[in-house]
Amino acid sequence: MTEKKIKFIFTGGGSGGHVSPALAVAAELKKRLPEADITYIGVKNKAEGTMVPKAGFPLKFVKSAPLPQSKSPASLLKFAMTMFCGLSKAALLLLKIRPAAVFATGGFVSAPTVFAAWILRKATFGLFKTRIMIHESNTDLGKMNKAAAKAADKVAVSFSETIRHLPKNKGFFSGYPVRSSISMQERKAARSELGIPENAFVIFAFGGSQGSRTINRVLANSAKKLLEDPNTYIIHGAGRPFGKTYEYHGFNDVSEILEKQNLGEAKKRYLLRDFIDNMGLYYAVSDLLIIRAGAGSIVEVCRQGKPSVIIPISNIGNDHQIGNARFIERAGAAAVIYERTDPLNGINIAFADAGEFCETVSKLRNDPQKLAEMSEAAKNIFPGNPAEIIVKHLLYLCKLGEKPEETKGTEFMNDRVLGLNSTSLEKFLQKTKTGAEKPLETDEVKLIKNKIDMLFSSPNPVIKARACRSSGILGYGEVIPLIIRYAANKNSAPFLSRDAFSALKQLTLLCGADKREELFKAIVSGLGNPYYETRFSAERCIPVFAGHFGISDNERKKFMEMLFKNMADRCFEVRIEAILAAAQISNDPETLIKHMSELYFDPVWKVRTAIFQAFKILIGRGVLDRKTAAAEADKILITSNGYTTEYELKKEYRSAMEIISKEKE
Amino acid sequence: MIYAIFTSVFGTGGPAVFKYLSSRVLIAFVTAFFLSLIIGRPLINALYRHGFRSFERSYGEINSQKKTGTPMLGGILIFITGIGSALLWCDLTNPFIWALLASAIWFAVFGAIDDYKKIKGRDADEGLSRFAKYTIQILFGVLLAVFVLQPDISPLPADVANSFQLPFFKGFIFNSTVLTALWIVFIIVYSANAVNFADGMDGLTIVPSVFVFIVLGVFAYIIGNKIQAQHLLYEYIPGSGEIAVFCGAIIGAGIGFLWFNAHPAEVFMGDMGSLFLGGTMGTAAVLIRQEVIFIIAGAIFVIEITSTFVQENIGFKIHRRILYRAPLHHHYQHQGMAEAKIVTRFWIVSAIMAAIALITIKFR
Repeated sequence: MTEKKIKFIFTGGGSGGHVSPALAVAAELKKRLPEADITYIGVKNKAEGTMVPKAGFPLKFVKSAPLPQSKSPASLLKFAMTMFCGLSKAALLLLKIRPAAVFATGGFVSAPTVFAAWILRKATFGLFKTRIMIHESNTDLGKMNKAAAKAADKVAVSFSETIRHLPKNKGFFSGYPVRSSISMQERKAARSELGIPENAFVIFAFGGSQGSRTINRVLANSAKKLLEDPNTYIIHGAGRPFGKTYEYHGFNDVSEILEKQNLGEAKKRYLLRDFIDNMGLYYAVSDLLIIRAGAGSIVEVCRQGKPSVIIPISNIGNDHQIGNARFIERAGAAAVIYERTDPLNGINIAFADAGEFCETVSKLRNDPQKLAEMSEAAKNIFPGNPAEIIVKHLLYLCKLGEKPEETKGTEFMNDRVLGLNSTSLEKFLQKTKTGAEKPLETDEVKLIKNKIDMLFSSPNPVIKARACRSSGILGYGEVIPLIIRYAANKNSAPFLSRDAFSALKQLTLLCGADKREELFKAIVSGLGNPYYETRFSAERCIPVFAGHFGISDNERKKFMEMLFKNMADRCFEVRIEAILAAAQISNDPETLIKHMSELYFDPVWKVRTAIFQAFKILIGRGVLDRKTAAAEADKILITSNGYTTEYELKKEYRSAMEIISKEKE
Repeated sequence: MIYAIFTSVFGTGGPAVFKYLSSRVLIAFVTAFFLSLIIGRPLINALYRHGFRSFERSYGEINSQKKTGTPMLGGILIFITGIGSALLWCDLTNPFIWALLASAIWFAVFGAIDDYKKIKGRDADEGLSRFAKYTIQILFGVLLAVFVLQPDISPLPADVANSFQLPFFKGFIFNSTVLTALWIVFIIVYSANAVNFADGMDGLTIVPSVFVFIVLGVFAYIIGNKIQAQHLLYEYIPGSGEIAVFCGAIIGAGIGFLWFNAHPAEVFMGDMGSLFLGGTMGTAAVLIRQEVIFIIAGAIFVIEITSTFVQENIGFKIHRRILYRAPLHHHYQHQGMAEAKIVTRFWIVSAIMAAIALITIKFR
């Protein structure tokens, strides 16, 4: 009896994170429909080149390229040419194979096949019947996937939030499909295969197929300390680039660091790998996992029921990995270590703190009870079988199965402090101050501090300036030396030095006596800054400085000298703040009045207002006698071209409404 | 419309007062003004009642020192009265009037959409996107350029249509279809945006706009009159005198609007008003080929848009404020100058610039 083969094309790749779900679905499909004939289409020199043949599927190559970063005509033309070649080849393959459906896991690798199938269908007015299904593994759709989603008949998503961004009735929740081969390995057999003793504690770190710099470096740097315990083993998939050109070579980087670490005999217990294709084996042997918080990794690890330490990627403005990580942490299945930068010491590439990492790992290692609890929690996080759900939908789409039920997913991003950019962060912090948002909790403060560090690490001075302002509102004392540096540097961008001073005005109260000298020098330099807003921001710091540290005669002398100079400034705001600051610290009202008297007919009335305020301050401090003040006040021009409007009706309306709404309660 | 009725009823005879251009300019002006007085109050009340105000209805947001709560979309008042009067007194068979009416409707509609989105979204950033705004403006500029430069449909003589003229110089500086097309698109985009930026204080936009329309009206009258044009050495454009009637109607509508918009304002014109005024202003200047005169007479608008550009584009690149605030009227406000004073001074400047623009008629 000859069974008719039902053909399918699977595509997607670039990185392991796109290939493995495709392979998981392919395996599940084979299981449910043995007569299925699956062909895989990928791009040369990428993860699929090694992974697909191992899984036993025939692999065909097409050309494709990611959307070019630059908008130069040359790169766009090159991109168009590549895509044209890819599309033609994919179309030929589709016509030859005539599959019932195309299943794509997104990314640029799948683009030619998806669009070719769509074009063929449109061009033949539906005679070419191949169905298209896409699986989206991330929370956000990329540009390419957005377009592909339009061409697709159905889109499976890993996160239920994603459905919102899709056309109606196209998306369904499936979760992230995991290779089933992973769960089949036996711990004991696996350990003996790798030569690891049965009672050893095995840490398995894996930062994706191309490796993660943060995980690689923190692990390599903590290796010596962790391996002091003779019962600990480390397995490390450091990753390697697929193409010939690359930015970061994980394996080489880790090898170099380990060389310097001089591990000695412990080196035997550090199993360094460049690329891991038999994940199941390593999952089976391990007791603790060190991972990124990509959708794929966390689902895979949790399904294995493994406890983990998660180091999420921190991108300014897009914190979905942090959201994922916190979700797993709250479920009790992982500890999270946040990536950060250290702008204070000039480290602007994100890293994880080795000390914190060692401590977290050692603590977990010494607490088997806790590990067991985490393991149990992990198993329960992701219910259902995503590969099964996808296959059911795929078969229904090809009219080979019944209509599957809809599955509901879990919501991840529910942290208010995530996804903020430099501007929205400042607004958010402002709201926590005014009470429009609830006060911050300790772990939220930690996240925000990390984010502010990241902003400081930006090369753009405007972003740095916003980081200063946010630090000021938050009261982030640790960055004071950095802010003082920005404030004191006359070559800082104008906005940066201005905002550095406005932050210092709020942060001075947190300064210890050791910072006094530095701060004094910064303010003096700020008073002579070429940018006017910096000058008056520096002037506003003087009363706070004097109030916090007290003021010595030398400091007073220097400040007064600068302030008198600034009272003749061409910018009225500098004049105003100079008068007010001088009134706060002056001990010699006569000289001050002499300088202020130059401004009694100042063309900007706000300056003259400041003089009256100065009199009030001086009398309040008891340095000026009332008689002199009265005589002086008489000399000041009090006509002005400004006044405050007041709408009587609105005033009455408000007061009436206050009574009305009170009675309601 | 009334013009059409009279010509059809009386033929060449009848009361001449409704046929003379100069008298129709003044009648259109007066009609628009009184129309404003009649419909102004009920219209403003209706806008307020339907929630077209600058904030949400909540007493907590009312500040006795601020203007929040003032009805927006007052542009609709200028539109109804100005266009109403123009429809009554203009010769509706005149192609220049078609172009002006088209620009009025085009800009008023898209300004109204912008305002509506802002009010619904309760945020000034909720309006049309920058891209959408520029697309709509450029599209109109292109259509107008085709109308002016395509010999089959253009109401202008071919050598005038693609000419570039400067004040103080006789005749054409040069003739070029391509450059003129680009110039027309630029003028339309510039005029709509410039007036839009100037809108920010009570009466700050409307009075300078009225001055510009007066200048454009005078020029249109001269250029559309064969004897006057020859006498003053302008290129005669047959039929363009009708533009003066249109300008008269808008001036009346503008002054009628000022009746309610004068400080303290009871209504704001919103984007609908500013885009409509800017768009028609630019169109009128293009139709009589006197764009440079328009730029001189509307110097206030040049200053406002340039100060914003300098502050936001150049200032942001070098990371500093160049003016205290932008547009320029906020620069003075920041120094504490009262609004009424700033507005009056801006009026004075625009009156002087209008006078300079008119002086150029004789100095050539």
